[in-house]
Amino acid sequence: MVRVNILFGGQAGQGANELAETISNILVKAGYYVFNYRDYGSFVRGEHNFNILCISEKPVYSYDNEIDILVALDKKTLDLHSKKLKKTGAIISKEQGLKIDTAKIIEQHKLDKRIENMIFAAVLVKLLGLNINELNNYIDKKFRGKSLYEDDIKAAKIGYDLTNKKLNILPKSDSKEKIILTGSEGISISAIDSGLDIYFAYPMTPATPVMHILAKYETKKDSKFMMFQPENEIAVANMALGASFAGARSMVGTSGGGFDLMSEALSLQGISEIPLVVYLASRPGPGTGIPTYSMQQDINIALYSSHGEFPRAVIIPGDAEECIQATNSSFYLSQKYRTLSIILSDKHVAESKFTLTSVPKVNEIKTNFAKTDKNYAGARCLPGINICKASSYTHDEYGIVSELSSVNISMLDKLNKKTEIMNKEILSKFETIKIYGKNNAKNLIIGAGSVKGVILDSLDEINSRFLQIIYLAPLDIEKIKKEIKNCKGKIYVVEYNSTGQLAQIIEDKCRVKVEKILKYDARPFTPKDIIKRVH
Amino acid sequence: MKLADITWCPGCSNFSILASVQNTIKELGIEKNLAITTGIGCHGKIFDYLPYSGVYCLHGRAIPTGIGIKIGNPNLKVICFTGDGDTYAEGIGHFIHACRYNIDMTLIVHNNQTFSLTTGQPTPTSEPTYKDKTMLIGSFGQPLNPIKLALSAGASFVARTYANDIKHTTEILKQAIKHKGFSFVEILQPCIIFHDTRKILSENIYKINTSKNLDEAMKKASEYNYNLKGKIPVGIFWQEEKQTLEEQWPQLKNLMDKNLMWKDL
Repeated sequence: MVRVNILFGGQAGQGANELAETISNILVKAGYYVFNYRDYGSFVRGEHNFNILCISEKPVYSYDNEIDILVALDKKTLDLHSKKLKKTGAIISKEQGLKIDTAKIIEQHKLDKRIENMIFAAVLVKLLGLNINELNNYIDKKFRGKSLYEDDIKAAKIGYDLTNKKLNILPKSDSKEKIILTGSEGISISAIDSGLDIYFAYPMTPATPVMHILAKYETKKDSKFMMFQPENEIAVANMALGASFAGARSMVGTSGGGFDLMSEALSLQGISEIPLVVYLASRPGPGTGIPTYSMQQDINIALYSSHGEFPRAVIIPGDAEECIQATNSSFYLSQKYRTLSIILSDKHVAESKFTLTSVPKVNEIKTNFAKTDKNYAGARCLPGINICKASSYTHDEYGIVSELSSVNISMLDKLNKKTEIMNKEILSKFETIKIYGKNNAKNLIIGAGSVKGVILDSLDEINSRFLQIIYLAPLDIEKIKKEIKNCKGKIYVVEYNSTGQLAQIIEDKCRVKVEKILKYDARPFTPKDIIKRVH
Repeated sequence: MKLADITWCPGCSNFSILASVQNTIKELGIEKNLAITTGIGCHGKIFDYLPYSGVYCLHGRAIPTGIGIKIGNPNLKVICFTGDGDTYAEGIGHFIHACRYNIDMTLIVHNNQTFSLTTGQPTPTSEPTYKDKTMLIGSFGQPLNPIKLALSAGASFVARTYANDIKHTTEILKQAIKHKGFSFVEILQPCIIFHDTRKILSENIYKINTSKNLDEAMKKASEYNYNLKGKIPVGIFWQEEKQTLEEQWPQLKNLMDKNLMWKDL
């Protein structure tokens, strides 16, 4: 399997991300698999940001720090990233390598300044041996009717004709067109297809893209949902519960800090049994942390936040495709069991672009409405049709407050019974874990969420099987124990945090000692990092 | 449906508020399409005494939950019951934004100027001389004037009543619920255990006519600053026609025009 890595860098606002996206789109259309990693800071204009695009003829979920082509929109990109360039690597920049004097071109042809990155894109298309029509088709699809369309077409032609060099580094693809999707896009389209009525959220990176995507879809004709941004996350969670109580299918999205603010309302969800889906896109912490980078420090709060005891499901998708499935399952579980479903992701899953051969089908979700909500599952009462009372106090079956010991016991017994029934369905019918690799492999690697891609991309080199956890709650202890028992070598848990939260859970629940492979510089692993640390 | 036994103190002014609310809802005939929310405190117990749908919310959060219900089904009438601790302390942010959103719903604040259910601590509208076991030397700072706050935050209906004047309270509540947009009614109430203002309130309240402009309403609202001194204006300070949030939001307007729920789309 060939892996070609291209780094695109520039000042925020110069369009490095846009450039990476253009090339990604052309490549998947030509049948390639790509993984597009986006690295940016918490600023809007001027500072440095970059993307690394990894291209292959086979599925690819990670990137490497050994770069084949360095595309530098500014000098700082050269200063920062030249050391990553392979000896055989090429540079496209204004200063060195394949030199492009964009200022001169723009002046000569009286083009808009903003099309600079299109000239770079066209040069790169030529170098990669792709046809200019593929770039033109993309421009046509994306920019026709917009103000820069003519300039973009001109810039593409000029850029393409600047060089006759071809690098011959791309492998042969299967020529079947593919789709690229971020985790955020996966979550958004799946929420809509799962019957989302109202998405409530307050802006917080890296959960914000879902707000933007949904807001965009909302304004399309005949959209059947809305996105609402209240004054803070406390309002977000309480409004979502109010809307859900009134019969709407509601979902909230946030990152760790906002999730903390919501945690009292999540406890209200537990006692009031009003269905709720929560999307928690975690970021490095504690506190404000590093907003635009990625870590997995919120496994414990996803599992244990909020006071009292009540049921919840926690699903941790590892790529865009799994985001679609996780969101669909979250709606199913929350509607069926009137429970809390949490989708746990992070910036690496939310904002990286993954290649899919097709978009998985989403199951239609039905809600059963009934006169009372006495059952463990199924029935839900609707205000305006019946009298239904939901309460934050310990309450009887009609929602009336009670301090009787018998009522307290029966209410908690009911919640616990619900956990039991829901977990039984999940463990018997859902894909709670996934296993990859050869049966006779020596080691066992355990991981969840955003570590998935890099482990898969390393698997051939480390003589290991990979156990990916999809459901953190309920955790499929029996299946995990079985894999652990069958493992003749070492057991590793790979995660992006400094204490090994997942490792601790595995050790406690499966009574086994594991070796931790941790990374907590807020940047993702490359396959090389994994290969180095597995013995 | 079997409702809860009433556990307010004998003689509590919440009984008067309950009577006013029952009269209002019956006279308006809105029982079926009604959803209520309540906060936490003595006022909140009203949830268990009224045979209507709703959510007994978290402390301070009856407003956002109420807004959620309205967005979740804009064809429901929504009434939020809260206390002064709820709305003026824990949930003050929600109060300001609810005025700003102008969503069609009614907020009733039971203001007894004390946290009664937790045995008498001061709230943001307690008078400066208020003493209790947490503020042995009296409370500091000036009381908040929620009427002025609501006016400046853009509320389209702002009123104040006295709990024990059931007839007047019923009349004002009726107008508040009929008002299209966000209506805020503060009901001044004595707490006969921790803050017995029966004499002061009943002797000093006087009824006002609705002001013709916002400046005049603001002036009227400034007449009383919750220090239990001087005359206390009650009645509707301000009412204006404004577009509601749900009238402006295409999806919500569609649900109202066709009398549908989200699930019917």
